[in-house]
Amino acid sequence: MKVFINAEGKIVGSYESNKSGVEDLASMPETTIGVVPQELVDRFNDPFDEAHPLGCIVVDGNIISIESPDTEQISTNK
Amino acid sequence: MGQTTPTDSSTIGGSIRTSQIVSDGVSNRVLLGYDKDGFGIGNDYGIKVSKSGYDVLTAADSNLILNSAFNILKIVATGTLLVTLPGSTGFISTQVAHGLGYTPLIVGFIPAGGSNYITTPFLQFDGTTGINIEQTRVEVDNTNVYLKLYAPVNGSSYASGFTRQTKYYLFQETAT
Repeated sequence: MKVFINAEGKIVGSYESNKSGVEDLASMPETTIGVVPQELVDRFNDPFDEAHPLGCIVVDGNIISIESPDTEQISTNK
Repeated sequence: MGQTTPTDSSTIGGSIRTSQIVSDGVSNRVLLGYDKDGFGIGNDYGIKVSKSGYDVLTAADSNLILNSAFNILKIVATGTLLVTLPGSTGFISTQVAHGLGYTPLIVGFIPAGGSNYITTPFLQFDGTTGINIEQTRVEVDNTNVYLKLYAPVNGSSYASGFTRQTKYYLFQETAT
């Protein structure tokens, strides 16, 4: 799994392939500047860890926020 | 695991035709290997798994959980993307190169609050005016996966910095 981070430290994407070599070919989204360290990827892959890739803020390789993204609640009758 | 028994050990052309049957103690549930015409006329080899309570040797296709005679969607990659609306209205798109070299089938879901997810494309309408205030969808071509958010008019609670995210799946099966 690759986890992508933007200039503000916000994680804005991830990509994971089960086909050999494909993951290496995946590029970063245009709004990102890099990928997070493998230690964090391991946390995101841990089902018992409360961290989730999207919504986290990462600074210097460490998670400083695991709040949910500011996503509006969807209603059927807005 | 229940008993495992061979069902056929005859020889053909010097090769031994064999299959293995696995029982759960009540019914034969798994067949692996030889089954005369079991996977279509002239197709004698494959894998079958039956539903609980059904004998894999006699079950109709509708009572099989798995039958290798039929193709299945195969997930080749999965990922997440997030977009942030630059203003209270507008269009924003982000993309990631998937590296597959072909146009795969795609399905995408977006969080609907709490633990609910909803399929894309997602359309939202103002409950009073009926005007479409949001379109969110995933797209894919032979190079990239896209998450696109379009907010043509200002929704009641949309604001700059509003985000949408998606969880998507790409399949080995192609779209063309």
